[in-house]
Amino acid sequence: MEPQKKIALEAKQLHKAFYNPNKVSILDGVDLTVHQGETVAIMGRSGEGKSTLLQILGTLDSACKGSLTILDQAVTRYNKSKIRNCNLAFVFQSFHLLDDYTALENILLPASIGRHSIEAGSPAYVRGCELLEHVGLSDRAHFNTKLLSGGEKQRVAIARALCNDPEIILADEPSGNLDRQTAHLIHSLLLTFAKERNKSLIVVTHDEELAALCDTRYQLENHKLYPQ
Amino acid sequence: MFELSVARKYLTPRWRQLSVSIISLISILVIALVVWLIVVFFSVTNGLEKGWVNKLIALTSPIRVTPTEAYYNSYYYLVDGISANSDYATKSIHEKLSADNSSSYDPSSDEEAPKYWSKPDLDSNGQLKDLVKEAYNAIQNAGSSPRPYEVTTSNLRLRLIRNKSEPAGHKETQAFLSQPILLGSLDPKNQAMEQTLIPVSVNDLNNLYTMLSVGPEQNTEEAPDFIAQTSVKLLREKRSAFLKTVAIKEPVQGESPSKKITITKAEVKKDASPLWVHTDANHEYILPYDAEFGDGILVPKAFREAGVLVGDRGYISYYAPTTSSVQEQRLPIYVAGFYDSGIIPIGGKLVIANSQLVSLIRSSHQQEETANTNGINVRFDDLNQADSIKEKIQAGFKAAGVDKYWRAETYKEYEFTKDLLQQLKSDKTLFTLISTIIIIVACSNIISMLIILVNDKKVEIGILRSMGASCWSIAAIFGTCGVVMGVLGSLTGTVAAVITLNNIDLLISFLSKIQGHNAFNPVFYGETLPNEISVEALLFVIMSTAMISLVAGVVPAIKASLLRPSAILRSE
Repeated sequence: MEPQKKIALEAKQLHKAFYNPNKVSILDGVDLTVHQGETVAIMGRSGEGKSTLLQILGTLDSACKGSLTILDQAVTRYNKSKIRNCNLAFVFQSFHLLDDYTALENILLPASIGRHSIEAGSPAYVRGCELLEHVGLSDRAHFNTKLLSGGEKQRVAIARALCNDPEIILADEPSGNLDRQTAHLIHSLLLTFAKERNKSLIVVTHDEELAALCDTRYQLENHKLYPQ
Repeated sequence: MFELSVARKYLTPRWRQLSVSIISLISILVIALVVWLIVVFFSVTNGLEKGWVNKLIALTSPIRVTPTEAYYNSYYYLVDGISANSDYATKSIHEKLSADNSSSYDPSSDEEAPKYWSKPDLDSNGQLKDLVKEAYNAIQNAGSSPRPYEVTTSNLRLRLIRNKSEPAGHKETQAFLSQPILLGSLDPKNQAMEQTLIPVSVNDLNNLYTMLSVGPEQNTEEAPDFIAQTSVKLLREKRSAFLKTVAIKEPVQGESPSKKITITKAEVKKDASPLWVHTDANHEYILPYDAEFGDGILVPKAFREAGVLVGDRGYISYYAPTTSSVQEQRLPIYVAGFYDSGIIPIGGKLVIANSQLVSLIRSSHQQEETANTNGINVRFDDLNQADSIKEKIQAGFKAAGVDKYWRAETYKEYEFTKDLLQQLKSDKTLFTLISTIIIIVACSNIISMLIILVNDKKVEIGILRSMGASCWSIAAIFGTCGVVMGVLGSLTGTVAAVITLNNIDLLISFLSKIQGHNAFNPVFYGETLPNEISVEALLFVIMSTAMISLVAGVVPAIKASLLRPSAILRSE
C-alpha cells in the first residue's frame, strides 16, 4: 500500500466577495487539499476567479471566510510574509522580474529577503547559480533582465521561485504570454522541477495540454471548485 | 542588507525614472544649501563669540572674585584707615596680600576703633582672619591662579609730534590728545594678552626712534624744533639696545636731520628689552619703564585709529589732596603698545599700566571702591570649566568662613558682558528655531519625491511582497531613501561649508564688492571674519536633517507598506 502523503496545503470553505457597491461573489465555499509532490491544475473561464483563488492560496489576498493551512501552519496576518518567503513561490504570467537587477540578482532576491547571505560563494549564491544552469541560462547570469526574451524571463522567474526551496509553487498562466514551443519548455521545466524535488505545484491555466500533465485537475465554475 | 540594497537601487539616478531623479537631486541640493547656510552662520557666530570672549577674558579673566559690601565694612578692611603703620589709608587687595600681618593696627598707639564698626572676624585661634589670604588659598585650592587687579580713574594727555611731508618740504607739527581714562593694572602672567596685542608697525618704530632723541629738557609743549637735531648716529646708538638688524634709508651719512631717516625693516634682538610691550624669558609681560620716557602704557586700538603711535609721549594726571589744596599731579608716560579691546563697553577707555603706577594713583586720590576697581582675577586654561571652578571657589570660601566677603562671577555674569553674551545666546536660539523651520521645509521635498517613487515602484513592491518581504521591510526601504537623501544633503552642505569657511575672505570681498562697502565692519568683527567650525551646529544639522528626513519618509513609507500586493499584481 502506498504510504499516506503529507498535506502541503489545505483550504476549507473559502469565500470571497467584492462589494461594488453590490455584493459580487467570487468564491463560495471552495475546498482544496494539495499533497506534497502533487501537481494540481485549476481551470475555468476568464473572470471566474482562478487568479483570486491562487492569490488567496498564496496568502497574497485574504478570503472573507474560511481557513487556510500551509504545511500544518494556519495562515494568519502575522505569519503571511514568513510563509511566503519560506514555503511558497509564485510564477506569474507577466514574469514580474525586477528591471534594475540582473538575472542572478533576481533569482537571489527571495534569499536576500529571508536574510540569507548572497555573497559570491555563499550557499544561496551557489544554489542560485545551479538553478540558473538548470534552466539553461548560465551565460545570462549577469544580463539585465530587460535584455532577456519572454521565455528566458520566465525561466529566470522559475529559477527565482525555487531559490528558497519552497514546498509549494503557485503558477498563474505561466505560459500565457509565450509561443507554443517556449510554452512547452516552461511546462516541462515546471513539472520536472516539481516531480524531481517532490514539490507541490498549483497551476492556474487555460491550457488543456498543461492541465493534462498534472496529477489532479479542478474546474472553477459557479464560484465552486469541481474535480475533473 | 536587503532593504539597503533595494534603497540604493532606487536612489541611483536612471533615465527611466528621470522625474524622480531630478526631484531627488533638487531635494538634496536644497538640504545641502540649508545645511551650508546654518553651518557657516553658526561657525562665524561661534568664531566671533569666541574671539570676543577671548579678548574680554584677556583684559579681565574667566572668573573674577570681588569684595562685597561686607568686606568694605569689615574691621579687617577699615582698621588700616586708623593705623599709623599703614599711613592712615586703607589697603588695596594687592597691598593686603603683600602685608605680613592681617592688620597693621597697633592698639597701643593707634586710636580706638569706633563702636559702630563691625566686630573683628576671628579665626579658631582668636586671630583676625586674613580675608584676602584666605580667599587666595581657596582660589588656589580650586586649581586656578589668582591675580589681583586694580582700576582707577585719571586723565591722559598725549603729545603727538609728527613730520609732515608737504610740497614745500617737511614740516614738524604737534597735536594733543586728552582724555579721561580708566587705568587698569597689567597682569604680567596673563598669557591671554597675546590675543589682544597689536604688533608694532614700522611707523611705530620710526616714531619711537624720533621720540628717543627728545630729552627731558625738550619734553615741553613748545614748538617741536628738536626733531631736526635727531641724528643717524644717535639712532644707531639707541637702536643697538634692542634691534639686531635695521635697514635705514639714509641719504646723508653722519649728522642728518631725522626727516630724511626712515626705518624700512627691523629685526628685534633675541632676549632684548625693547621699549614696547614684550615678554621676558619667563614669558611674563613687561611694560618697559624708561628713565627719560617714564612708564610705558598700553592703549586701546581706538587710539591708534586716532593717529597715536608707539613712542608718543605725554603724562597721566590726577588730583591729589595736599595740606593746602587739591593739586594736579602728573606722571610721565609713553605709549608702549596697543591692544584690541574687542567690543566691551569700557574697551575704548581702559588704559593698562604697571600695577605700581595704578596703585600709586589709586592710593593718592579718594575713590569709591566698587567691584570694577579692585578684585582678584582668577585664571585657568579650560574656559568650559568656569562654572565648576566658580562652585569650587565658593565652596572654599564657605569652608574658610569668608564667603560673605567675596563674590565670585564667571565672565558670563560680568555686568559689562552679561547683556552682550545673553544677546548672542538669544540670537543663536532664534536662528536655531529658524534653521529648524528651514530644514523642515527643505526636507518636505523628500515627501513629494518619495510619493512619486512609491507610485513608480508599485509593481516592484507587489513582487517583493509576493516573495515574502514584510510591510516593515517595504517601509524601511522608503524610510532609508528619505534618510539617505537627508544625510547626503547634509554631508554635501557640510563639505561646502568647510570649503567656504576656509576661503571666507574671498566670500567677504565678493560681498563687499557687491555692496560697495565693507560687508563686515572691522570695528565689530576684526580685520578678518573669525570662524570656528561649530561642532554643535554640525551635530545639530546632521541629526536634525536625518530625523526630519526620516519623519518625511514615514508617510510615503507607510503608504507603500499598506499597498495590497494582490491588487497591484492583478492590475498588471
